[in-house]
Amino acid sequence: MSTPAILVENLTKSYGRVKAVDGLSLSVEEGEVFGFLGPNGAGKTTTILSMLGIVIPDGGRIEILGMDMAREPIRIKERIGYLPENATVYGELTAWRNLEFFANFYRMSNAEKEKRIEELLKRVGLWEVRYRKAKTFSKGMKQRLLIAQTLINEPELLILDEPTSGLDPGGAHLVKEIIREAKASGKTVFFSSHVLSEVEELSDRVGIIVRGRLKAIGPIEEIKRQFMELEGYEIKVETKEPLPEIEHEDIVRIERLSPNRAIIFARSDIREWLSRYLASKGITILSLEIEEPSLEDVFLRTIYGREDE
Amino acid sequence: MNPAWNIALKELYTSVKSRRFAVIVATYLLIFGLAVYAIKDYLIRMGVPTVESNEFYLWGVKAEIYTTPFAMLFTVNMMILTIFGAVLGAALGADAINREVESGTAKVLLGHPVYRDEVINGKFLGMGTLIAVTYLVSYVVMVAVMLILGIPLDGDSLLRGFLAILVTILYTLVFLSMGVLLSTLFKKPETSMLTAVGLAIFLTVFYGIVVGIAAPKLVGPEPPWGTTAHEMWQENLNTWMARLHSINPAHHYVQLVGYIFGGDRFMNYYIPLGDSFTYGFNNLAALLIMLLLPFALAYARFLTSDLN
Repeated sequence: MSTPAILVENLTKSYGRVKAVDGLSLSVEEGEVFGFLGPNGAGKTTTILSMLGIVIPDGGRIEILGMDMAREPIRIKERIGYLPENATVYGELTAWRNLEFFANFYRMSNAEKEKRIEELLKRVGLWEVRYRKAKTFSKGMKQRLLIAQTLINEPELLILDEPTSGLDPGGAHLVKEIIREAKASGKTVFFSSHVLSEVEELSDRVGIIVRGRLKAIGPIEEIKRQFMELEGYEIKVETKEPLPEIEHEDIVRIERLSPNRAIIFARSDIREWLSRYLASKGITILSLEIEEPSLEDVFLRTIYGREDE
Repeated sequence: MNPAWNIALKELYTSVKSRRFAVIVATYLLIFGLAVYAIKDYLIRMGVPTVESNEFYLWGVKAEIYTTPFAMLFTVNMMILTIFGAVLGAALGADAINREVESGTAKVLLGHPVYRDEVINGKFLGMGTLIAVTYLVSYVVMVAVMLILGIPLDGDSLLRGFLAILVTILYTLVFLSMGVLLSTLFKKPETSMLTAVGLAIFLTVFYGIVVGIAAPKLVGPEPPWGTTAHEMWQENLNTWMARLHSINPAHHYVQLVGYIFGGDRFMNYYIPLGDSFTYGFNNLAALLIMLLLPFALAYARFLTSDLN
């Protein structure tokens, strides 16, 4: 079994009386894109900042790329790229000088540095304004520069906190492209986002954090399946002939859309039984499928629906 | 590149281009220029140097200074720098940490392979270098002023002036250190800036007045003049004045400069530098403690606090 790229065990962090992260454990495998979801104040950023030692956790253990964060922070940071939320670059420095400043923290020759900075500035679309002070940049341009500094050391692991926040559609597309490219080249990406469609599109697995606790974790399909098991199935049926009366102990209710179409809300997946039952009545099934919940449904239900469970 | 030095260079670059540095240095140069203009005739006509008693009431210092033209010019400059140096140091350090935390650059910075101690050391080193360069330039300016006025310079005065500049750097670093500490204590850069500059002005301008009012109150009512009781009261008063002044970096700085340019009436020349060092050892030690103590506290606070 390979070492996880990120391993968080029983992480706790409080600000005064408020528990921002409460016994959170998760692991992210190498080469995986992990989406970290949660409402505002759920503890996403605190988890990420604790992972990087920017806030000091009250308890727990963090291993990144097989190394203990408390013992080898520098060796870890040499191999990761971090994009913080609500951050900015040094306004008094030009785009070039900003990247040069961050590049100086890594073992790179001057030629390598210059080549890398040029590549990144072109990549994020700031090459033309490379000698302009960052304080004259728009929010989106600053975010692009932040993205560039994240990639300065060609990291193996990307930790991105709300990476598309403040970006225009072009910038958001760039971030998605970077995440996809990272995945394609076997790198690991851990990112938090409010944009559920983005998470659904990019992530192999997601974790949903609510009030500092991890409420769900796994591949999106798995989480949806768990959600349906808990919340019930929504089965859409369409037949050639009119639908007969349907009775089953797991059916909660039936919503008839027309004589031939209905949505059946059931406690279990009764598709097999239903197809046999309708066949026995000589009814031809045109379609019989489960209406999958969107990630948004799962997210909202996890946050607001199951908190007290 | 060493991470601390990388941060120091960035800090030096941004500080030297900052508006506050430009304003403080421009104001200092203006006042220094006016002071030079006011005393230039006196400097030119100065005859044989003599040892003169000087009292710097605000800072609780009495010094016997061998007043060569350069010593005279430096003493005037010292009085300006006692206030401006303190303000410069405090203003440079006062938002060193909390500005980075507030703007979010601290998070970006600490996402890279850099230890927290390298961040605070780098910042101090960068701003310290700026202070040192500024004062070394001011030393060159003072020498240039002397040459422009056609006043002959002697090597001993130049050497003592250089030592006094080093002491001035140390003195300003004390306030830089206080500023950095305040920047770790206050969340808002504006609050720490106001507090630091306020503290610098209070210590260099108003504290002496407060001591002058507070010390007699602490000693009690003044006995009739000429009695033994009055002598004891006076001694007690002096002790309290010295105690109260001893917590002020400006007192130690002015006293040290006084010793560096100190004169011997019998010889009518500077006292040997060794004696200056011996006399000023306690002041030097006090300045070093005042530099290291706030920095150590700032260091401990920065290393153990959340930077979100």
